Amino acid sequence: MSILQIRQLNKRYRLDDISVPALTDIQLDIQPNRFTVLSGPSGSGKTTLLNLIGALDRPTSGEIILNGQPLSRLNDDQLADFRARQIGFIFQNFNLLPVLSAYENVEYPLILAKVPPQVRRNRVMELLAAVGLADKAQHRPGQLSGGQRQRVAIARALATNAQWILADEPTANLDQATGAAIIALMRQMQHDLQVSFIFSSHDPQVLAAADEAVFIRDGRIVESRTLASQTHPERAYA
Amino acid sequence: MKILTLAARNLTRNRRRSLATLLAMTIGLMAVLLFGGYSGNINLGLQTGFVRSSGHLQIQHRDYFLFGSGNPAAYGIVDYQRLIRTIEADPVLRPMLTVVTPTLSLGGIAGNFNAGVSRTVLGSGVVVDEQNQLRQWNDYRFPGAARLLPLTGSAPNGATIGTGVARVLQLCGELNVKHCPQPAHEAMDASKTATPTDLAALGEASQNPAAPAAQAGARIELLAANAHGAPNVAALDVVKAEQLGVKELDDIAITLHLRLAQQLIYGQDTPKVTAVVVQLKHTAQMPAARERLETLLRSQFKAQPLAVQDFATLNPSYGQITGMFAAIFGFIAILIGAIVLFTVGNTMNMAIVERTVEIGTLRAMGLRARGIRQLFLCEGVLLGAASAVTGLSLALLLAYVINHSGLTWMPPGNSEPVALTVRVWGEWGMLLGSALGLLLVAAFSAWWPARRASALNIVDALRHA
Repeated sequence: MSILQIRQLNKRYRLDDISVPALTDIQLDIQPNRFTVLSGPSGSGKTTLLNLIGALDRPTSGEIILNGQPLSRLNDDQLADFRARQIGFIFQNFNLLPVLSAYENVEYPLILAKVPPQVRRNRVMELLAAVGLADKAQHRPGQLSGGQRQRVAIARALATNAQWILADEPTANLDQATGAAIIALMRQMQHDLQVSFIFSSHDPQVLAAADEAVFIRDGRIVESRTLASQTHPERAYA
Repeated sequence: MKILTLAARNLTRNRRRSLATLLAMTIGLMAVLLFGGYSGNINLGLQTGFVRSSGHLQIQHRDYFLFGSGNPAAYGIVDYQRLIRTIEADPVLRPMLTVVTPTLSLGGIAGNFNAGVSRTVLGSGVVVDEQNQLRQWNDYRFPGAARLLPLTGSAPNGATIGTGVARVLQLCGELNVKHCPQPAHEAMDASKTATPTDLAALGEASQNPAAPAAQAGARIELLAANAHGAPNVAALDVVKAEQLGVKELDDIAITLHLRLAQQLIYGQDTPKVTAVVVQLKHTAQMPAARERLETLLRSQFKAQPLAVQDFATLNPSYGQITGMFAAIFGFIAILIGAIVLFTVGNTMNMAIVERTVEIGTLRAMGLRARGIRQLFLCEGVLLGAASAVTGLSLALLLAYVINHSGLTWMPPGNSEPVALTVRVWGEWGMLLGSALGLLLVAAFSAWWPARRASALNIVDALRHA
């Protein structure tokens, strides 16, 4: 049974006096514990869909049901609490807080989730070790490379044991080798921690690593398929 | 990571801007405190001056304050010695008192008949030793010793006059008054204007035969109407012409011994006074002392219509001057508050623009809108708190430097320069009030941007370039 259900989802934006459709009639079920990619060209609506799944935005109509919870029924504070407990985010620009160390960046969502200090310490160090940055715990983002920053961001997204990790173009600002390493790391974490990753990406490397791919064009899902697990990445990025 | 730590670290991100904001608030607070200390000092100095000259409270005939200047003798207090003894012996009042002393006001004409000149004067008969005690009052610890009355140690017919009186009576030479212009006309022939024999005789008759000869200075005659309306004259030896600071007072004032003043007004009748001056240890005791005095007057002196007046009522300029300084202080405080408001508001607005993506990230991670508001509010309050601490410290330091610099200034109405001092240390109400005011203004000016930050659309914030 799928955990994420999207039903008749529509999203329109207003540009001056014109209402522009960003997503139209999205119907989608996403299975848990999978590596799912929302793919499509720029402006296709994949980031908009990711934002709606992540409860960062509200649809114009339709419903998203995550872990059995219809998101439209939650108010702003409830959505914030829902995000704090259920969803982790990884951003294209890493979005680490520059005034906090790597340790503190990973710790921050745990503080929001009111996790006791001792548990926090253990969890943060465990995650930093898992992403290979235990020795950089006290470094601030400005002292880390792009790849290292994205590793911290991955650790931060996983900190609260969220079941859904949403990543918006996570490799777009990384070189190919670093991007590949980050994908491998996420794949590893997904496997080890049994969490669900949903990406918005048109990076062939990401598609190559994905279990599921959802292709979006002009705000509509044009194809949704299970991939042959890294064997034909070029086919996935059609 | 507590919100306070995050806010403090955020403030260090743009150090120059935070420092500029902090500096603006620090200087603002310092200016408010120093001006507050300065005007507070003036108010206390003014109060000290009035309390030294006229006490905290005066017991007078009920109508004397409004009508007495026309005929002081008609508003005399009978049996004033008993009144003074009662006050001094009262168990409630006694611990509060420093001095209780009588005074007699009188109007008359002072003449220097050798020069053929005279002028109307307003006289005051005082007990010199007790007046000197009055002048010792220094509850606010102003630097410098109080000057004794020039009448101290003078003969019973000694007197002091204002420099304006000396000028008009052409006594500047005899009294060594500096900067005293002489009239340039021919009507200065002394031989034509010797003291009229009748006045001279009256003057001599009113003198105490046992009085020693005048020590120095000039002789004048003071003509006054006695209690029965008949003229009486006292020959006075002027020991000094005093600069009283206000021309109107300089031109009219004369001070003499109480006993002589009473002889002049009441002759052989029972002597009276126009006021009993009561000086307290502390101004704060005034309401309690006043209440007790009124009780005593009602119970033991009900035969006389007496009233108690405080120094602020007797000297309306006190309220006017303190009111003026309060208004200026309020204006400056509002001005500084407005500067702080816009400086902090601007700093917060800039921070929000720069950290829009960060706001979106925090919201995405699950921080509620209220958390964003608290974060920016906290930054504003932290800036305010840091400015309050530095502003208070610098104001205290600068006040110390000013108070020990030896600077002087000439307040209006003063005849001598006084030390330029600012009273900041010990003024806990002002210190606390100003610091809290700064904090409140800083919090208020951060509140609006904080509210704006918390209302940002998360997706738009994350997309912000």
